[in-house]
Amino acid sequence: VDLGFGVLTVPAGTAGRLLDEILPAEEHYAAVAAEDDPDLVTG
Amino acid sequence: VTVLLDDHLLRDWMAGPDPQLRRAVRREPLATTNLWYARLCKSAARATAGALLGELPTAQRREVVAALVRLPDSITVVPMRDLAWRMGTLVAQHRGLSTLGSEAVAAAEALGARVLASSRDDSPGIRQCCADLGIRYSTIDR
Repeated sequence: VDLGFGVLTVPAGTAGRLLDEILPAEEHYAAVAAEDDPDLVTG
Repeated sequence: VTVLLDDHLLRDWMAGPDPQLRRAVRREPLATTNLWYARLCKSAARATAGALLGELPTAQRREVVAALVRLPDSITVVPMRDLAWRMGTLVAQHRGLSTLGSEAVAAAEALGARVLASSRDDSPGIRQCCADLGIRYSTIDR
């Protein structure tokens, strides 16, 4: 994972699991449901 | 045929796709849109990052999150400059189509792609517009 200030070497698949923990699917669904920018609403 | 993923499925794919999503994609090339990706980045930027990164200073925490949501080169995004005019005409011609939706349809047209979205964020506007234009639009259960 290239962090800009350094490179973090992790086992294959770890970056995906980190993303899943940092931004769980439910959190993104909630953010989209609360979206108030008309250009970014689903439609 | 390229598969145009919405932001939910893009997140799922980047987090490590489940078998259902893998089956739906069928090893076809992947793409998404500028605005779906922007919406995903917006959520990621607001995420608290929890205990995993809690020890890091804010700037470094943001760098980590930015790296985790960076799009792989294998996922295509058509530049907005190539889509903007078509987006404008789509919105003018199709009631109920948002800017985000118009980009999805315009990108699918430009790539000859099919659209794959989460069932939990199904878009009647995109669905109808795709149907009118003969673009395949489907959802998978999430």
